Amino acid sequence: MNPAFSPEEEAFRAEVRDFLADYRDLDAFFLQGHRWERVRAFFAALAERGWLSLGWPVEAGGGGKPLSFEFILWDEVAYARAARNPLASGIVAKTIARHGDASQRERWLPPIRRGEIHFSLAYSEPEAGSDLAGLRCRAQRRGDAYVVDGQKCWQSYAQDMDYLWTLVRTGEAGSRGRGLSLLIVDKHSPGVTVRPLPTLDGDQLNEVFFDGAVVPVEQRIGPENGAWALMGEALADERHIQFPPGRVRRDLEEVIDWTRARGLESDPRVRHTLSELAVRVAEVEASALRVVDAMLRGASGAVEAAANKVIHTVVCQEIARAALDFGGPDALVAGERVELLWRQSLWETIGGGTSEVMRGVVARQGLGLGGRG
Amino acid sequence: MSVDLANDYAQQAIADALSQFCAERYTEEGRREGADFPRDLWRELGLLGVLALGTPEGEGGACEGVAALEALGAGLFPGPLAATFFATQVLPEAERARVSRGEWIVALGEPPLLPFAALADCHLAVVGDKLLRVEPSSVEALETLGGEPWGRVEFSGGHGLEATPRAWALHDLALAAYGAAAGLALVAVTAEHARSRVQFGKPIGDFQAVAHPLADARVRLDAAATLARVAAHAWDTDAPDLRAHAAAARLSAARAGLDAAHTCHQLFGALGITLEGPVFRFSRRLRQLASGAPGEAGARAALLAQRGLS
Repeated sequence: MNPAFSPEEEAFRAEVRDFLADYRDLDAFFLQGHRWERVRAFFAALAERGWLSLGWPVEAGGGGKPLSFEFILWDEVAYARAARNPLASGIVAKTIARHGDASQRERWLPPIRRGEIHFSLAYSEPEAGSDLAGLRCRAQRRGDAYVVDGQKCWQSYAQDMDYLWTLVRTGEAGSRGRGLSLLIVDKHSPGVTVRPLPTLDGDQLNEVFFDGAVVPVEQRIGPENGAWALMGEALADERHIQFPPGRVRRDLEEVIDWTRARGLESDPRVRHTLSELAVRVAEVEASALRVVDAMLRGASGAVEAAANKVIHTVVCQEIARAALDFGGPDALVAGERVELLWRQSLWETIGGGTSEVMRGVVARQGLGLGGRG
Repeated sequence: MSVDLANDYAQQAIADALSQFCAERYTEEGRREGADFPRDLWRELGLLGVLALGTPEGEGGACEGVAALEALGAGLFPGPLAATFFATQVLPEAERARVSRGEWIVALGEPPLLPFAALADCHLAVVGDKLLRVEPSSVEALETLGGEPWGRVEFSGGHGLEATPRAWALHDLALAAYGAAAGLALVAVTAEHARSRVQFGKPIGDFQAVAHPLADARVRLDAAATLARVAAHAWDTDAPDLRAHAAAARLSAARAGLDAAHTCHQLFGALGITLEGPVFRFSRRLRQLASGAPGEAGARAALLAQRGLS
């Protein structure tokens, strides 16, 4: 029974913290869309240290480090509010490393590792959110290319990214998960249009329209109609760095600082609430540790990650709500940090799999309860 | 070694032995309403070395204690377990030995109500931030919601003892490990019910209105159980913020356990409100643990102090 990281891991944490001292003012964990050029430079600096590819296999040009190192890195980056972990070096690169052919690995992995190209996920559609297997965006094979038509919706950061990691239907209509393929679509190619969907936090999601966009067949990763299994593996690859607890730890610190600055910290009701929130933050940290522990033991971590997502995101909202409850009118002023936290935290229980989907995973896989009805 | 939350070989052996002990020795007869406190079993627990964990004589520290308490919690084994672990940290050596051998029962509380007061051989009163060893001049026996033999005590004077952060931390993490395991055992019983009880032509666990609250209960209790392990490691390594870790575990387990109890009463339907149903014996214990143990104010203060609010 050992809930602590090893001395080597803690030394790495210290190194990461030192590095992040220069990036604290980046503050792009929220509102990345307003700071993309600086975030791009930050990712390039991470790349220079080999940290974008820390956990990739050595044969794919990565550091081959245990997943605990990736957890520590992105936990500290989240605590520093520097940025969110990029999809390119995560889901995209790990899927290409595992399922790409030699020329695909050669083409895509080096620039991703160097932090030169960035990706947005293009999965969800207006009629296919939680039920992704029902998506309709179609790719038809024409010789050496696919022609893509359809619409995607709610893509994070697509306005700034270079490529879209796009899930398309290549099988029959109604083929559900058996008829899906993954394509890398150059965002700047003809027939691709990205439109903003402004969000409550002042940032934006996007909708993406494909109108006869031509994608070379060598930009399909994995087998045609075989994407579903790849996506499952990709999710599994990243469970330990999704929703790092450092974000929640920092939320509470900011609310405590805000409380102190307004002289509220000696109010017994405020103190009681803050002690409850401190317990909740500890629960978030424990839940994240459970994901790391499960994966280090070689288990999938699916239930632990679903549990972590539920508890992490609910606590984000509890912290923000508490601050607005006891903050009085001061907390409502536009631009106050707690006002931003309240707006932003509403996103968390939706994005990356809703709480309802996550509770379903815990119920089915953790408790043996069936059905979705 | 990196993170590994599982029991090691010796810890698992303790857990297995105590699960078997509960199953074989703490039987339906002992659990029936109104049964006397099983002092003989308490003595056996002492002879097994469980109550000495965390003492210089004990064969293990807080991590082993957590393994033991999880097994006892899942089996709803009765008695002042957290109070006893606390007492082993504050009493002089000779008295500590009597407590850890299970010869003495400990009453630890905030007077005038003391748990196990009528049975106890050693009464410890928490008065503000002071800890007193007291000799009650009278004890009025009381039953509580949890079915524990409490007492309303009168005393004068008392002998001061030092309640160290380590003593409180061991107390709090013991409460947490026991409570989280009891809650998880209740969730397992309720999940079994939800898998087998058929209404509207399918198991009720197929309905999200049933499945999701149970999933929430499981998620929070898993976190609480992990916090008990984090706290035990902090205790064994004498980490500077060990009291705050244990406080988080205790308060987490209390809240998660209570919420789980209410969920499970509801999900059992009418079976959830009968005495013969399986829920009440869990829920009454969880309720008792959540508000019957002393030191909550100190636990909250430790948590706030950890975050710079003194």
